[in-house]
Amino acid sequence: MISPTSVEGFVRRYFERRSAPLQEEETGVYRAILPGSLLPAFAGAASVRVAFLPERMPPGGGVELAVVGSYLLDRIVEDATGAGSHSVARLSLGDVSPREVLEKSIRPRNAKLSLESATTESVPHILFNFTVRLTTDERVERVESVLIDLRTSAERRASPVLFEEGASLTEERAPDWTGIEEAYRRACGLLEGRIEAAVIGFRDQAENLRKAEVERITKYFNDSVTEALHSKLTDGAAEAQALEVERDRRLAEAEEKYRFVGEVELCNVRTVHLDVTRAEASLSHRGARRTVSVEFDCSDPVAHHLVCDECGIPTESPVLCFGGHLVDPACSQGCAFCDRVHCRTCIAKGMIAPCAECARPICIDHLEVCALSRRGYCPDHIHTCAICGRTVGPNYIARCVSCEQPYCVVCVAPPTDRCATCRALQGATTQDRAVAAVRRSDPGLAKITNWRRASNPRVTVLVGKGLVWNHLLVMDARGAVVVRKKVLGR
Amino acid sequence: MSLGDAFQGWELVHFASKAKRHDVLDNERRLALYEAGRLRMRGEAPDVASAARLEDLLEALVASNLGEADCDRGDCEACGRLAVLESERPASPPQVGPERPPPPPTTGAEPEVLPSFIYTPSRIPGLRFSPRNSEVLAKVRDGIIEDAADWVLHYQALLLDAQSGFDRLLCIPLMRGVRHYKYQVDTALKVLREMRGRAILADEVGLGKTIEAGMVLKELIVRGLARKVLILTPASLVTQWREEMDVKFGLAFEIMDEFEDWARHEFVISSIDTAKRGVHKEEIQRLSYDVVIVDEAHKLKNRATQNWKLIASIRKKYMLLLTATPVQNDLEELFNLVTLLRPGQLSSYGGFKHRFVRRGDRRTPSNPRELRRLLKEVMIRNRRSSVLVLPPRRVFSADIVLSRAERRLYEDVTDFVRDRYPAYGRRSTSVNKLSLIILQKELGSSTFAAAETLRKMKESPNFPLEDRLVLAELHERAAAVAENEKARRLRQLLGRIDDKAIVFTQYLRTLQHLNAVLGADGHTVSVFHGGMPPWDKDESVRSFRETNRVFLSTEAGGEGRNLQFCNTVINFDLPWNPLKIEQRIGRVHRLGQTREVHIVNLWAKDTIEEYVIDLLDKKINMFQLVVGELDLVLGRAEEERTFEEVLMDIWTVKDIARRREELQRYGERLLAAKGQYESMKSYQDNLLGPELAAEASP
Repeated sequence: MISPTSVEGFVRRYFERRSAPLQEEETGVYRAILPGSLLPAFAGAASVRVAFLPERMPPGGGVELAVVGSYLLDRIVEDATGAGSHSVARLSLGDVSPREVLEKSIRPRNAKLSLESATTESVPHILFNFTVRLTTDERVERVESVLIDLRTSAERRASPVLFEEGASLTEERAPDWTGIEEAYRRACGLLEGRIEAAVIGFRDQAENLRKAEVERITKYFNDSVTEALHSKLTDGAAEAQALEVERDRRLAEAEEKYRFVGEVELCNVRTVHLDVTRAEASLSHRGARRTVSVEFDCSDPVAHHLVCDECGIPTESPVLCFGGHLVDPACSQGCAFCDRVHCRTCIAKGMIAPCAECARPICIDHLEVCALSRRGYCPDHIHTCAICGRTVGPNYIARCVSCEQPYCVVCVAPPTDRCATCRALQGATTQDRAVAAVRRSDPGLAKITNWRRASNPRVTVLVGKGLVWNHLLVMDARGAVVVRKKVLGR
Repeated sequence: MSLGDAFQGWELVHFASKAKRHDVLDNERRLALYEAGRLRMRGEAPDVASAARLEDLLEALVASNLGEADCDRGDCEACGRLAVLESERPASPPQVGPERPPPPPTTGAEPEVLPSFIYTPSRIPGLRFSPRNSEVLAKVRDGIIEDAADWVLHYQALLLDAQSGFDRLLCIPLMRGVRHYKYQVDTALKVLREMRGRAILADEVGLGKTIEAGMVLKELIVRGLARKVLILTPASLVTQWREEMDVKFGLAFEIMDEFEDWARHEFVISSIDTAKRGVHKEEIQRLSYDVVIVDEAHKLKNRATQNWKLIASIRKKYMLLLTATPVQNDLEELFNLVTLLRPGQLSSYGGFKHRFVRRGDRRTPSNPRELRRLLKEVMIRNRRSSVLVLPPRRVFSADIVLSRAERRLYEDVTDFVRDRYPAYGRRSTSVNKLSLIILQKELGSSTFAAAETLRKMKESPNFPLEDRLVLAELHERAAAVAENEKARRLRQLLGRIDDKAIVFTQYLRTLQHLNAVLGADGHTVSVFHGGMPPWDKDESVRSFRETNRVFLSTEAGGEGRNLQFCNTVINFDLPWNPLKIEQRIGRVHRLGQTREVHIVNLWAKDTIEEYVIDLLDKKINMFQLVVGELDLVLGRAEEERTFEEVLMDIWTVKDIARRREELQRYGERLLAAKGQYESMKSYQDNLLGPELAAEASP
C-alpha cells in the first residue's frame, strides 16, 4: 500500500533532481518548478502549485494534486520512467572484517567458529527490475528484482542498498557485459519460478469466473431459444435466431472480459560491481571438526546460513554433530546425560537411542542394555542386581518378600520369592560386628542371642530369633538399618 | 474575407465529420479542423497560428471537392457554400496539404526483438515477456550508462505505479469537492470486487448513485482498466452528467450530438434517444466499450423496446445500470433489467416465471428469499433509513402582505407579463420570454432585483417600442420603491431567533439590500455569492462558523460547503425550481446535523410565490420529502414541462377563475403522482428488502 508520505517523498526527490526543491507557499501547498520535459504537459507553464493532501486543495483550483492516479503524478511517473534504464554502481567491502561477518552470521550451537582464511574480489552482477502485470477484469502489478552473479549465473539476494543512489560510485573500469543475454534468461527463469504460484492463482480465478459466466449465458440462451420455438405468441423462429446472435455476442464479451494477459516488462537494469568475499571457516568441539566455505557480498555483508546436511534448509544456528555433520537443531538430538549431539544419520546408526522406559535420548556412552531383555535403558532406569551383578531393566526387577530389597528376577526365585541372600542365612555369634552393632543400638535386641546372618555387596541381612518373635534387620553398607521387621517366630 | 470566416463553428465540425466519411484529411488534420470548429462554437478567438492552420485546412477541403461530395444532411447549405468556393478555384488535382513527416512510432507498437534476448516462459502458459525488454538490454550491451539518480527515480516510479487488486479505492483523493459516505465506498468496492464491475445501483433516491457510479468509473480508469466509456442518460440529464463527471471526478466527457464522431472520443455521453437513432446505433454497436453506464435504467424494463435492445447489443466489459426504481409494476421488469446485465442470473424467462411468479399475481414473488439471494449478486440498494439518519425538519411559513407601492408594481408588472408572455411564443429559449420569467421571479424577491432587469429590458432592442415605453415606466416606479416588506419581516424574524441562521436569496441586488439593512440592525453578517473569489468564500464560511450570526447567500452558497453547524434556513425568496430549494435545505440537513432543522419560507400573498407554496408545501408537503423524491413526483405529474414552465403557464392565464381551476388541477395531479410514488416505493421496499445494501451481512 502506498501512503501519501511515499508519494510525497518521491515527488520531492523528482523535483530536486530535475528542477528545484519544492517551495512551500502556504500550509501544504508547494511551488514546483517544472523541468523542460514536463512543460508540454502543462501548456508551457514554468511552474505549478502542488498539494499532497486533497484537503489542502483550495476550492478555487489552481493547485495540482499529487496522489496516485492524479494527472501530475502520472506525468511525473511517465517522465521518471523515460530515463534511467541502465546505471552502473560499485560497492566495496570497506572496513568490514570477514571474521565479524562470520561471527554475526553463523552462530553454532555447540561448536567454536574459527576463520581459517578469506579472500575478496570485485564481481560483476546484473540487477534486473521487472514489472509483472497481470490483467483479466482486474489488474495486479508487482515489481520484482533479480540479482544475477555474472560469473556463476547464480542468484544473489538483492539488498536494499542496491536500489539507492548512494550505492553508486564512479565507475573506473569498463564493465564487461558479454554475459548479459544469459544472465537475462537466467533472471527470467528465476522470476518465473518466483511468481508461478501467484500468476496461476490469479489466472485460475478468472478462468473459473469465465467458465461460470459462459455456462450461465449458454444455458440462458439455449433455454430461451427452446422457449421461443415453443411459444405460440411470438414468431418463434425469428426470435430464436435473434437470441442465438445475441448469445454469440455475449459469449465473446465474456471471453474478452476474463481473458488473461500476463506481461513481464524489464523496466531497468543496474550493473553492480560487488566485492565478494570467500572465507574458509572451521567449526569444532571435543568430538568433531568441520570446515566450511562461505561467501558474502558487500551489499549485504552477511554470510548465508549454512545448509543443514540433513534437510538442506539453511540454518542460523547450526549444530555440529559428533559424527562431523552440520545440521539444523531440528535435525539433531543430544544425549540427556552429556553434551554429545548427533544428526539423524548418526542416530539411524544407533549413536543415540531412546531409553525403553522414559524415552529420553541416550548416547552410546550412557546407554545400558538389560541383560535379560536386551533393551536399552538410561542410567536412571537400569538396575544392577546386588547379588549377581546383572544390569536389568525395570521389568526384570523383583523384590524379596523377606528383606524387601530389589534384585533381578533370577536372584529372587519362586516359589518362596526370597532372594538368594535371604536363602543363604547362616548362624552368627553375638560377637559378629553387625550383630553386636544392632544389639548395642537396641536394648530390646540385646536379649536375643540366636542370630543368623547373610550379606551381599549392598546389604547385610540379620535375623534375631527370640522366644516368641523373630526380628529381621537389613543394614546397608554403612551399617544403617534400612528395613526392620518383627514377625512371630517359628 | 478569409476562408475561415466563411463558415460557422458547427459547419467546421460538420466538415470534419464529412471529411472522415470521405477519407479526405488525415486524422490529425481532421482533429485540428474539429477543434477549430469547437473553438468557434464556444465563441473563442483562435490565435494567429491556429487561424492560419484553419485556412490551410479549408484550402485542402476546397481542393479535394468535399463540398460536392454526398452529405448525410441532404440539402446542406454549408456544403453548398463550400462547393461554390470549389467551383471558383482553378482545377487542381485533389490534395490534402503539404507532405507531412511520417508519424513517430507509437508506444503501442511492437519493437524489433533481438533474437538473443528472447525468453520463452516454460512454466506459465500465457505469460509474455515484453518484446520491449530487448530495448533495455540493448542499452546495457551497447554500454549506454545513465545517471544513478535517474535510475533510482525510475525504480521508485515503478514501485509507486504498481497496483494491487481492488484492495482500496485509489479514486477517493482524486474526487473534487465531493462529500462521500462509507456506504458509497462500500458500494464501489462491492461492485468492483464481488460483482466484477457489472451491477445495478438501485439506491433509494438522493443517496448519490451518480457519485457511486463515478467512483467505480474513476477507479477503473485510474487502474488502467477502462479507456472507452459510454454514458447513456435521458436527454434532460446529459449536461448534468457531463458537469458532474467533470467537476467531481475530473473526467472530460464529450456530449454526442448529430455531428459527433463516436469513434473519436474515448469518454462520451449521449441521450438514449440519440444513441438509438440509425447511424449512431450502428456506430455504437460497431465499437467496443470498456464501461457502459445507463442512468434511469428503469426505462429498460421492457425487453421488447429499442432502448433495451440497444443496451443489450453494445459490446462492453463493465456495465452499471442506475435506477432508484428497479421494479415498478411487475416482476418481469426486474427480470428484464437483471437479464440485460447478466443473462441467466434469474434463469430464462420461462424458468423465472416458474420459480418466482405466482399465477394471477405478477407483483408478488412466490419465493422472495431466493429472489433476493439472486438479486444480491447483481444489485445494490442502499436505503436511506439505514445509511442516513437525520433529525426531523420543521417548516414555518411566513406570509407577507406587500406594501401599497410594492403591490401596485407587482400587479402592473404581472399584467405586463401576462399580456406579453403568450405572444412571445412557446419556445422557452426565446430571449424575451426568458426576460419575462426572470422579471416575474425577481419581483417575488425584491423590487431592487427587478429594477435592474426592467432597466435592461427597456433598453433592449428585442422589445417593441411600445413595450419599452411601458417598461421604462415600470422601471421608474420600481427604482422609486424604497421599502421592502419582506426585509422588514426578516428583520423581525432574526430578532426572535437566538441562533445562527442562513438566509437564501436568488438575486445579488436583494442580497446587497439585505446586507445593508441587517448590518444596520447590528447583525454580524457573512456574505456569500458566486461573484466572490474562492478565498473570500472560504473566509465568509469561516467567519460565519466562528463569529457571525447570519449567512447571507445566493444559490452559490449551496455548492459543496458544509454548513451543518447551523440549523435554520430562511428562504427569503422561493426558487421555482424545487430542486434548488432542496439543495438549499441540503446544506444544513445532512450527515453531521444533530439538531432539528428549521425551514422558514417567506412569501408574499397574492403573488406567484403563493402558488409555489400552495403546490409544493400544502399539496405535496415537499419540505418533508427527501432529496430526489420530489423529482420523481414532479416527473410523474408532468413529463413534458418543467415545474417552472407549468407554473408560468398557469400564472399567465388571464382569467382568474380558469387560473385557479388549472392550479387546482395541477395540484391534484401532483397529489396523485405523490400517491403513486409512495405506493411504488412501498412495493419496492417490500420486494427488495434491506438485504441488498452494500454493507449488509451475508
